[in-house]
Amino acid sequence: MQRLLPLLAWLACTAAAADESRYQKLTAQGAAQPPHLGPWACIVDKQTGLVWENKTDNEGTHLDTATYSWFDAASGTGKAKSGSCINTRLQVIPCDSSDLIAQARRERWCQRSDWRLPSAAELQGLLLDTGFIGNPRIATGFFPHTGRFPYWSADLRQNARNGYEARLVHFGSGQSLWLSTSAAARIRLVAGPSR
Amino acid sequence: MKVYRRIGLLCLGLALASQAEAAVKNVRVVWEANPSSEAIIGFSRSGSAASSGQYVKYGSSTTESSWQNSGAAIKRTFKSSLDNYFVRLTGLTANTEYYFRACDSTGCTEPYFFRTAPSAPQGLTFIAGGDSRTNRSQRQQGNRLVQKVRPHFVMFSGDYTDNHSASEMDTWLSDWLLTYTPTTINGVAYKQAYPLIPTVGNHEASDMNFMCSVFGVDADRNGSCSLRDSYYALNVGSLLRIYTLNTEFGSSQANDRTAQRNWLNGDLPANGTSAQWRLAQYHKPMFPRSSSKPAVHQIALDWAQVFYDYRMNLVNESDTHIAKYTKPVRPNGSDYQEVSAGTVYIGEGAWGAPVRTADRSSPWIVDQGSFAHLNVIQATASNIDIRTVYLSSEPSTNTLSKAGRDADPLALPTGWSLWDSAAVGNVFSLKRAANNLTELNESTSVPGQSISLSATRDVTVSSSGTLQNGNTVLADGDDAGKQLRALLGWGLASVPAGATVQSASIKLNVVDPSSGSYNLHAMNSSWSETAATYAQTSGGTLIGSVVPSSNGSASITLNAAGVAMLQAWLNGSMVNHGVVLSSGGSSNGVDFSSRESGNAAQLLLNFTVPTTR
Amino acid sequence: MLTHCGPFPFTAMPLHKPLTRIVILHWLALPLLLASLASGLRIHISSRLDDLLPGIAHWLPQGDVYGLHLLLACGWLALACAYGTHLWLNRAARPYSTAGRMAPYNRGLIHALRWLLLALLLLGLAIYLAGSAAAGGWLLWAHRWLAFTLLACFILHMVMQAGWTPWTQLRAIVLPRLTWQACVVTLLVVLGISATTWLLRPTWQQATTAVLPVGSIALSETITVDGASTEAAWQHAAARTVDTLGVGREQAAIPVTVQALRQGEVMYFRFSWPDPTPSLQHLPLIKTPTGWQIKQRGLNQHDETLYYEDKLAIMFANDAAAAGSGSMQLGRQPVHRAPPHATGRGYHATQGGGLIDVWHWKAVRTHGFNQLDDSHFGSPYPVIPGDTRYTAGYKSDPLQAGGYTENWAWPGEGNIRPKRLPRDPALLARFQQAKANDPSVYWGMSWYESTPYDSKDDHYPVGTVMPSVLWKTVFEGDRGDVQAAAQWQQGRWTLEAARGIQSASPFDLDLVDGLYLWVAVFDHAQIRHSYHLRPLRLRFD
Repeated sequence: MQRLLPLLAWLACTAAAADESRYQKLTAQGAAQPPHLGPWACIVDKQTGLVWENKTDNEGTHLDTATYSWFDAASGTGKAKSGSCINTRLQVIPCDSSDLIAQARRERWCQRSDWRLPSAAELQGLLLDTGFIGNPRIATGFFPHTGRFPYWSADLRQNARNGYEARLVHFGSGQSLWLSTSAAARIRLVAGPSR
Repeated sequence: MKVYRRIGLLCLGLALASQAEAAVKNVRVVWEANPSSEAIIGFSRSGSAASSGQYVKYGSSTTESSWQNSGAAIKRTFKSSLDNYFVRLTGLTANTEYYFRACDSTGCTEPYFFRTAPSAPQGLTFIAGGDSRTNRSQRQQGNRLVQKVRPHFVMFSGDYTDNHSASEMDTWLSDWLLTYTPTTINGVAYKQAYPLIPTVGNHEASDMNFMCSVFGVDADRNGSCSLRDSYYALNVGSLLRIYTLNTEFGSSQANDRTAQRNWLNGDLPANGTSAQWRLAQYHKPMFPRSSSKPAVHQIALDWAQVFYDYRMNLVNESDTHIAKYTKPVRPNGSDYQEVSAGTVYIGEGAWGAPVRTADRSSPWIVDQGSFAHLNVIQATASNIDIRTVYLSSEPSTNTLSKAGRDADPLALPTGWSLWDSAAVGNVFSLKRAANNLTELNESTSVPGQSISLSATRDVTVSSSGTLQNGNTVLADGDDAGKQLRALLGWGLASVPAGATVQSASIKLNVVDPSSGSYNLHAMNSSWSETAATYAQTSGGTLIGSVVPSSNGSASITLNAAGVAMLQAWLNGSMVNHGVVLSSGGSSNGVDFSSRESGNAAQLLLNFTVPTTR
Repeated sequence: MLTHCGPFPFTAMPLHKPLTRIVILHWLALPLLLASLASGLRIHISSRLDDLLPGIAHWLPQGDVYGLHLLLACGWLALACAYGTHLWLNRAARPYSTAGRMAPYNRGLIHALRWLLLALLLLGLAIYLAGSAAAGGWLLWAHRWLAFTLLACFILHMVMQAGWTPWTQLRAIVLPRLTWQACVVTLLVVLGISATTWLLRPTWQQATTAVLPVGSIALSETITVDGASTEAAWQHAAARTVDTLGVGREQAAIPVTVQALRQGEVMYFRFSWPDPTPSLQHLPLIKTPTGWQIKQRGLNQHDETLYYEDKLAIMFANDAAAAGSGSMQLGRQPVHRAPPHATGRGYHATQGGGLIDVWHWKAVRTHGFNQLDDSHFGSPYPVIPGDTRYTAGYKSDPLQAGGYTENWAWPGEGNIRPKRLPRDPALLARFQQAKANDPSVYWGMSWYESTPYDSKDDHYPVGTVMPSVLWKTVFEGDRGDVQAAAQWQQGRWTLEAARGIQSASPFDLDLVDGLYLWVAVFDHAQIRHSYHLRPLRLRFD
């Protein structure tokens, strides 16, 4: 095992180096930011071309601990306003995924207006084992304030009771699960064409 | 007579004057033991004002001249800066109202009253909940809901504030005043206070002696604050024995944790049978329903066997900020096992804290969900009924009158929204099994059902007299000088006969939002999409309101009058003329999809139908 | 340079036994000497934070250099034994040098080398037994300078030998014709003693480790973890004082007095150390004409040494190996392919999957939580992409929620944007009036008494100072397992800490009889802490 450690460390470092060059920080105005500087509002995944919303622990639209029910305002599918998030006036309000999407689009966050829920596959593409169970499974240097919690994806299905369930990706366990759209969960939005 | 009136006014004036000078505030009533004959009155020093000679004036009648003064209050300081004073009233009469003011040498507070616990096993209505730490507006909503329920007491299962600082606790205590119901008795404005049974939450871990220094609990009666004051049991008459336990004994308090377990292991067998039902509250659940928490809290799980062995009936847990009901269970290793008669666990605390994802599934769960709530529990000798109330329905909840509560200890307010949990509906009904454990009350419980009905007619009527019947329906307070109102109607033929409406809401698909408030009224006369007048849209009962501030679904929860209206429609005692949506004064109009667009307004009905199972 | 003072006559015949021994001992001594000097130099650079010869640090060994130095000391011990035996067996031989007319000087050098080596070995032994701060740090100072002297003597000796009879000497040492039997025996003796000493190290480490008696008190006694230590139990508890040695050029010694008590399932500790200047100002923010800035002097290198809170670290390990149970990985890049350490001092990490339990008390950041920051040293963790600071095996234990955070969106040397402002501007008043090292002003704000920064609310005048520590709430999870509180009074910090003897966390060690304990004092410093090499061993009385 002792002999394996350097190998494991090397592999981890190699992976880290790859991820280091994989992501690019963006300011809220969409300007590129060097990796050692901050703060940043979004992260570009150069592998996929997707732009990810960065979260913050400060109260506001992008609060890390805000939860949302899953709701598609266009089709009326899902459950509206059953999470708890914070509006621009810093009030805690009931909200759903469409509220966050609408707000991010309204803000033209990182100069993007195509914010949406990511697919489960897109979310799973962010998973990274950092080797410490106290960390979420993600490149926390680029994606701080990620919880070891489930995050909504856009994947939707009808359940046996004629209700809807959406898929979540858990950044603590790395697993995915389906829950009723009325459940409250965290969200990390993505911009860019669906894969 | 005039003289008496003048003396009365003088007394009132003096009382008001002394009230204004009182340097005490945030009165609370706490139960720790013998609530039929004892209560702790606590209050805090107000600001930086000098205060001395604190005491309580109290009596069992509203004749203040007959009140007696308590002994000097005991002072306890929380976090070096929040001075609190406590008086333990003893020798009280069971099931009796006590009127009181908290005083210092400079004056007294406004008058309050509370009711001691009954000694007879009469029905009780009480509230259980916890986790009020971050969302203050939601916390206040929950507190106002307490005020409207007029419960006999409140079990609070921890996490009052976030950082447990003196200033946060001070704010929490002032918010707690919102639970008190303003009640005028003999022309005097009192506030009815509800005894609180406090618990330690993990956010109180930095100073668990707050149980004593903020709420006056002195479980071991040694006159000083210690961790022993964080767990205790009390009997509410002979109906309930309530255990309050501390899950926050961390590694460094392993000795206290063992002492608590030993105490519980001794007390439950010895005293558990002194009441018909045994209840417990503590903060961290044995098996939290969110993966954001550890799968098991061992400190609580250590109690599961003694709970089962000694007939613990109902346990209220907290911490996870979700809602849950379990089936009757017994411990089975590091899990529960569903049994016909066992312990039922409810929870898990969302009285103003960020809700979490209820993503752990277990076969012994009845239902679980993520929303802000508190539990209204009703106990009689044979049954316990639990209603989980959405805090968001507080505005539409009507306050139960004092007369209503006095007449019926099981009376409930109307107009609230209840959790329609899977399989059990709005009321989770339990009964005492032959072995004194808890079983589901399936013989009398009525399953909740719901139905979603699409509008069968909708039209926009203008104050100019025109009708619009396109793909959208509009309402506006000022549309180029005209007022627009939206008429909506549904057919109810598909609702089962005999249905009792529990709650209802109307869902609109907003396509052009408004920042203004819109009101929903009952229509009192017949109309159709081609024949309706603006004049007939006025005068109906207000049944709900909404601020349709964003596109997508906007939900209007019907108030008690709305629920009654639907029931009357179903019963046939009132003709179903539908409803009208009109501006509450805003000139910022709202557009929503019409039935012609294929996305009609929905009427969501939650109802019960008596069945025999 | 252990050597016989005699000549190495070049001959085609195999050397006789004594000379074979000498050659073998030379062979062994040379690498030992170089390695000892190199590892000693690494230790010196690491503790003094200077580089005597610019660039030399790059060539010095990295990693568990203390362990290496100790291993080499075992070699020296064996060599000394073998050489002593050789001297005794060969006591009739007459010493002489082949360095021509320099022979008397060379002979003197050889004598000096011999005595220097003996002195270094004895000093090393004394440091090992008494601690690096023993005799006010003079032992360490003497060890260090004797080593430099030795290096100088060795170089001179080489020059003398090589200058007068280069080929003869070189050939005698490098290409001798040895008596194979003597060769094997000598090697076996030296390696055998070395290996035996090394393998028996748990025994002699334990036997030579100072003991901290842990008395037991009744459950009826109350100990309040408040840093006041007013309970009678503390007055009667055995105390041991550990002399820790600071880093940097001054290397001031800081004695830390340690007491421990156990009560049922719980262990209590009390630590007390002198500090005339309680430092409760932690990287404060100051409003300048151009905006808010962090008051700092080394934050960018993660090496702040002025505007930083006082801290104390306590380390528990099952192994008594010196220097934090072998967890000090010295050098700029002791972890393969990991980012270089900002100061070049090194990282903390264990080898072979071991775990060291670390309790990190932070005067400001954990203030009010009644907890310290429960942490650990494990195997080096992988590098996390984008992370600006790599800490190898050092991490706080897993946290579910709570803790503290910094009051900036991103740190930097220039203007920064505060994360939050106080809800009530009056909250800052006490910081404006605070004197330096005021023991009553903790430079932090409650998260819930502040709101997200908005330039519209930022009307504070230039010169306003504001804390950078935002307290959220107590640590929830393994990170909050240790209860702790400290008080500063009359020039001393007193910290009390308590934890269950058994721990449920995989990142903690059970506090059992025989566990080893170290302490490290951070005097308003981010990473520069005092240290001691040998632990205290808990002994349950």
